[in-house]
Amino acid sequence: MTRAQLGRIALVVVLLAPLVFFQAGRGYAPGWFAIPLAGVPVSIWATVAWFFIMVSLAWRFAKADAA
Amino acid sequence: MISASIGYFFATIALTLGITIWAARRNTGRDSYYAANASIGGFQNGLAIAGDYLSAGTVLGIVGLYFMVGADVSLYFIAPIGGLALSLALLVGPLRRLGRYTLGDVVQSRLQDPRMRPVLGACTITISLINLVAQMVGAGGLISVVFGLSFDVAVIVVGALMTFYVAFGGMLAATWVQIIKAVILVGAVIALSLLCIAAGGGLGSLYSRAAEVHKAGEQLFQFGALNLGLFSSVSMAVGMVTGMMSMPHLLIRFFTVPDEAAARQSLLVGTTIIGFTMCLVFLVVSPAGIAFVAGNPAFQDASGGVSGGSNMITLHLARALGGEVFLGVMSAVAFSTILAVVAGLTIAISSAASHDLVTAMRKGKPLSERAEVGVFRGAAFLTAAAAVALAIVFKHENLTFLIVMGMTVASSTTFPLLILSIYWSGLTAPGAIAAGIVGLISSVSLIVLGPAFWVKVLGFDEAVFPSDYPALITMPLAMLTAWVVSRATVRSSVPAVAQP
Repeated sequence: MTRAQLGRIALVVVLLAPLVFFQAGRGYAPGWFAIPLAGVPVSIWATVAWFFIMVSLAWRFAKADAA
Repeated sequence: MISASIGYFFATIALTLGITIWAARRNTGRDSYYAANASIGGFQNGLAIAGDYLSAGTVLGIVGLYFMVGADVSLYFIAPIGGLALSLALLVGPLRRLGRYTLGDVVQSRLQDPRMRPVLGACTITISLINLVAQMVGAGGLISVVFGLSFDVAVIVVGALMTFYVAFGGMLAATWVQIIKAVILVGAVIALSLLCIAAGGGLGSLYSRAAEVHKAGEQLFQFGALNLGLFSSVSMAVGMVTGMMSMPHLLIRFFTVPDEAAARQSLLVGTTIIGFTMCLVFLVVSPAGIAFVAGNPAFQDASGGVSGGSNMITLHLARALGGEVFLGVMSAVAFSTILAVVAGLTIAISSAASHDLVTAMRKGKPLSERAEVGVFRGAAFLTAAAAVALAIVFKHENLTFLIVMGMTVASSTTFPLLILSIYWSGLTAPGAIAAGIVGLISSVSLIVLGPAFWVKVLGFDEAVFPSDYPALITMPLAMLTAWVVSRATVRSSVPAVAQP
């Protein structure tokens, strides 16, 4: 396994870690996650951001491999 | 309602049967039944991957789970996409280079030992059967609600259809059913999302309404409702990421494209469509299910619960917002979703049985092409029979939970075997066989001993293993077994050559 591949594994782990931690139970997520932005709580926007980050990672990995 | 839904259902069945008959005329042998002659384009295969993954668990199960635990379902959405991204980085290229029909081919090509095949075959069958049962549970509930048939009759109908698709149409038919289903499903989710936002008076109003009608109130949108604890939370994430990377029915899709570049393109297209669709389901459809279905007497049964169970909330939502016609459309979409996924899963099981298990039983001597296709068809029939029986036993389980169980077994079996055989030159055949057996037995045992099976299904008072998510123990255990046995047998075995 190359260093680049190990780096990709580490990147995915680091990016997923906060979500995994927050889901362990009530009180693990920061209090400001409950604040609504445009009527929708920050926790929901944060999850949407995670979607985009994960799909973007796939594009980044594919672009790097194509190069 | 019944007449509109029946019309859409029969149109769906007619379309998929037409594709099967078309494909059956083009199928010539092993290559076409197992891998559609590696003739599928990268973009087409990407759509098929999306069609294969976006299952009843996504359309019905996760919305139902959101209804119960709110935003805590986010990990069920995000972790698999992380797994798809890592598959792109680590697995797709080597997999396409080394495999032809099954995962057994990939590991066999590294280790050159036919004893690998039954181990990979058994793992593939177990993982895919768990997933298949989940899809059948969804199908049974769906048909029961729409037609008023009994659950048992409904799953028998689906079992008969899937046997026909796979036995006659093979991978080519399954691929085109999945492609068409993916396009229709994405269109339906977009349409339902727009309806939800319009009916709710905007996204913010939708969330306010959901918080008002749900007993959890604003807490619904905060993490932690599942109260998993750190061990289960990490273990579930590990199981879903690595399980997603090693689901046999998705991985064999890479054998249907001509080369590695097409395989990478297909996974990228698939990941993007899956991410977009799941994001809409999470952001709009799931909270709308609460806003418009919770507490609505039209969708309650005699006990005050949701009519048809929580897995049917998406359909109730479609009826509440779009009337009987849109309910018919969404029912047909959900039904086609299930048919497409069960076809893919049945192919994974049947090919593992006919190509890996039978070849191993004959000590590496392959069957004739005609005989192997015959075994493939027989395996499809037996798979359908087993899936129907198991679906009747597990009919009250949440679909998403069953799918996560399949991922847990994959993370403990096919994941370590694929990663180690591709990237670790020290792996020996005895090490891989021992790892596969230990991973399979430990993951299935701990799932059975966990609360969801031991308490809810078997009726015991207390679970023997305290978590429903054992991947954090079973996956490292399989890896450790591979390392220990490989080190012990390195002198008597020819080690694999690492594949960068």
